[in-house]
Amino acid sequence: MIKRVLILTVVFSVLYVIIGLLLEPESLSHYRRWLFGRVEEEASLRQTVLLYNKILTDLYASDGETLRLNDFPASVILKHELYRDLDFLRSRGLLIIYDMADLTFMKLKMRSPFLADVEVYEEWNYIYQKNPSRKIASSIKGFGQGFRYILKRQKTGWLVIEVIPVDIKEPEKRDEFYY
Amino acid sequence: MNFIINSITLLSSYTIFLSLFMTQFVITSFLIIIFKIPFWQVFGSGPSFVFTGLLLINRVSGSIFEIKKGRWKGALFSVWFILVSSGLLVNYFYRTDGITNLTDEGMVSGFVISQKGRFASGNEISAFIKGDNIEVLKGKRSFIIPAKDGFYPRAFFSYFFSVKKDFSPMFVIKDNEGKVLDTAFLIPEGFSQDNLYFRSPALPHRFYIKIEGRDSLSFRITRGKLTIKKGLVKLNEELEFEGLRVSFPEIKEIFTVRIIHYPGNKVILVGSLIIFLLLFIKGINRLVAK
Repeated sequence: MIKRVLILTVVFSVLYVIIGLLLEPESLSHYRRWLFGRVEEEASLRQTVLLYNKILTDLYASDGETLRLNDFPASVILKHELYRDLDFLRSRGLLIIYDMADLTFMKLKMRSPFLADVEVYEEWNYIYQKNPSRKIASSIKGFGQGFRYILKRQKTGWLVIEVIPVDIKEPEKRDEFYY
Repeated sequence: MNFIINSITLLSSYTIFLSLFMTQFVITSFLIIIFKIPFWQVFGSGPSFVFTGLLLINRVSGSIFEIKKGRWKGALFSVWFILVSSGLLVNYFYRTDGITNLTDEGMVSGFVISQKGRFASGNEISAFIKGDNIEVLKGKRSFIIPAKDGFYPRAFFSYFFSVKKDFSPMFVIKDNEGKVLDTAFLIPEGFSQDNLYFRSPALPHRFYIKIEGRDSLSFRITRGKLTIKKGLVKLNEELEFEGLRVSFPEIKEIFTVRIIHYPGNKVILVGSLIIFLLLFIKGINRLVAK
């Protein structure tokens, strides 16, 4: 009987996967990526964080120009927060121009096929300009700061759902030249 | 006709039952352990429902055969299994899991539901502190639980209350003319004190807060990528940032109460008790007969 039960268990497991494929094909593709495509998923997570920062910089520089908003891999809450910041600056007749100097990936952890944490150390320069004349309103300032990104897997790719500042030691720069 | 009867007998056999059960158990454990998917999400997936349905059909038809043949022990096991599976299905469709926050003045946040079954009824829950206890009211039902850290099952394990005592600072945000823009108690999010922050709808800033003692807090005010200000602040001390002011006039004791309702547990527990009682009586009868 045990042998029969084991054989049937294997047969039923195959049946279970087939039913899963028919009823929930998306979930199964998540599991497949998690088991066999971890390297691609990690690359995709890095790309998403880079794209997030690239479009964030564009949105600030263009005073919220919505052309790239649909490509912005951020949750609605984060988008609203960004636009509240732009409104705050606009109410003071200002614009902020961010320029990323460097971004180092420090830690990447996939909590499940649907959720991941990425820790980065970012170096930024920024300057305030007058809005709308774009005349310079402050000197150029710079800062280095660690950030933890929490990302959620969507059908089309990863989405940043939270960005939290964290205290991380500045990474050593190996390939830097000094003259 | 014989073929049909043989097929039904085979499909209601324990071999099929054990194989279906093993498949369900192994795949569910695999999804929970390897993919870290919550139990209810796995249980509520399409293939899991199909297999639970097949298990129920197997045991319902199995119990009919067993009763016909006078195998009462087997029939009781089948009935017990049907009860447990039905209880789990009731839990899946009718469960609620949420959090509320209380101070001695009453609820400072509504009942925030983190999980809810498809057919679970509303969230009319109210709670208040009554001496050393917390009274929770849900519809006509009332539960008394101690106002101290702990996990308290009630009503045949169909309700679970988890209590956590915490401290909550009150914040006041003013503009540079002294006009109050926003004030509220900072509600701890879930059960985690890491990276606790609050926001005001009037501002783009985030205020990260950590209580450092009875009268001081460490803070970090951020806007976009920038950290505007960070450091330590005492109660009632005003912090100036970007032409605005924020202060923390008081820190209150706050109770975070997690309320979990699994109505199916009553079915499972009461059903199991009756079945075991019947088995016990049957065992005693057999002993007496000997």
